[in-house]
Amino acid sequence: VSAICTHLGCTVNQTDKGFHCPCHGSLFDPNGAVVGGPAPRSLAWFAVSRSRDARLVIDTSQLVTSEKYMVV
Amino acid sequence: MLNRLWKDFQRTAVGRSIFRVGLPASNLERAQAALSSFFLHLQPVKVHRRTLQTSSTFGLGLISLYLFIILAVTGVLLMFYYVPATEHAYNNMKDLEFVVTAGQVLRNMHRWAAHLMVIFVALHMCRVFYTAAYKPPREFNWVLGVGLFLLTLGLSFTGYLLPWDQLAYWAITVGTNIAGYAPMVGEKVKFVLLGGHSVGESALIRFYVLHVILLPSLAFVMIAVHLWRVRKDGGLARSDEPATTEEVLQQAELPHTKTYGLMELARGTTPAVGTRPEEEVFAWPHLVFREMLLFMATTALVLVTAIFWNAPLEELANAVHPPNPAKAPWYFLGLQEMVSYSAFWGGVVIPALIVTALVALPYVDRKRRGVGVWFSEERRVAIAIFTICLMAAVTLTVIGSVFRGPNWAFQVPWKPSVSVGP
Repeated sequence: VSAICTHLGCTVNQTDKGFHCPCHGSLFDPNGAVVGGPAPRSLAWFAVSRSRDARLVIDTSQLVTSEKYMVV
Repeated sequence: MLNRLWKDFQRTAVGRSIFRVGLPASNLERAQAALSSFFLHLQPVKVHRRTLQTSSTFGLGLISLYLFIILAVTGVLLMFYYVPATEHAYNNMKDLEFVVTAGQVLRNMHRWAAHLMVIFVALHMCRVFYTAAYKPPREFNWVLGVGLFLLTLGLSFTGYLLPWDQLAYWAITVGTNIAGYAPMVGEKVKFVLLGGHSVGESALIRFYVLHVILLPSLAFVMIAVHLWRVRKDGGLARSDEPATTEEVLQQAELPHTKTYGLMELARGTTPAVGTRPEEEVFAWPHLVFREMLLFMATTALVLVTAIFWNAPLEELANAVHPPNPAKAPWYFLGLQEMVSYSAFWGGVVIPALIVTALVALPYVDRKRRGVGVWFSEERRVAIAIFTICLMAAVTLTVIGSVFRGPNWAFQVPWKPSVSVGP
């Protein structure tokens, strides 16, 4: 899940309840869905895959839904 | 001794080529001095007594101008030390603090003068509104003033980005993202401002060029036109001044019991034609002396502030963690408060509406009532609307400044909530 707030691009902080933005107070649940504040969209989820040399690759150009999991 | 040398120099051929008229001793020479000197010709030859009264303007516009001059001078000095590169900028700030002689005071002066300029430009705008000095024939000068107010904010914004501290980094991030919310052109504007898609070197150099060349040059030209228009529009707004050209012509029929000498031939008719000469005094020395005094007082205020209080500098920019709470300087906290409700409405629509309303004001509210009078009874509605908007802006700024704690959560200033870890 991306830590960049969909409101104005600050980095959100992880808290017990999910994610909290320090700039304008947007609140997200642990899955990145908007709970409160001015954020217009949920936090982005990026496609994660394993490269041939066994490294994790995060493709920021490929958005996925929060239900999708990487099969290891 | 120095005085003698100066006087001898003025009498030489070189001296006379520079100063056509020496220190004026007679009224004729006072007028000649004002007309023949480049710097004095910015002043009128004579000014109305009321112009010189403190309560007419409180010198707010002049103070704004002087702060701009102080900012230009300290800004050029800072340019000797500053390198607009992400790996150098922050260290340059530390060099100013610990290495450069009086470097910290220099930076403090620049920063505090900028803060003061925001205050004084805003106060100047309030003065012009509450004395109805934006009404015809001064509509366009009010519009220029709105432009200068926006330029002041633009210069402040581009200025505090340059130290490349946490405030700078996250202000660029948030600021350009707000621009991204603008309809249609938003994403393009954001790309142009950043010089790319992420905040980095290309963004810093762009904001640097805006801050040291583009915006100041624009401000310089607009200030020049603004001052020139003050004179061309008939000087300071007065309740007894003629409004239209027809009225000017009527008033220009002066009483026949007085004798007049020809001082100068002027083309066209200006509202100054109708003014009664006996209520006017020579700009030299009355106006020039007051201006010099105010300039010294402004410089002293900036210098004393700079000696006793240090300009803020946060930690080095960290692209991973914004500070918590991440706050803009005080003058943008009203905007930040609005943006915390909605980026589009608070960051784009409302500011655009405010600017539109300010620009349209002199064209909508045209009736010449209460001109040159503070809080005129005849303008109750206009004054009420403006005051409510002003109070709203102040309230939002205060809420954003002291009532917002970590995670931008509401807090009461006397009971700050415990800081939450990153």
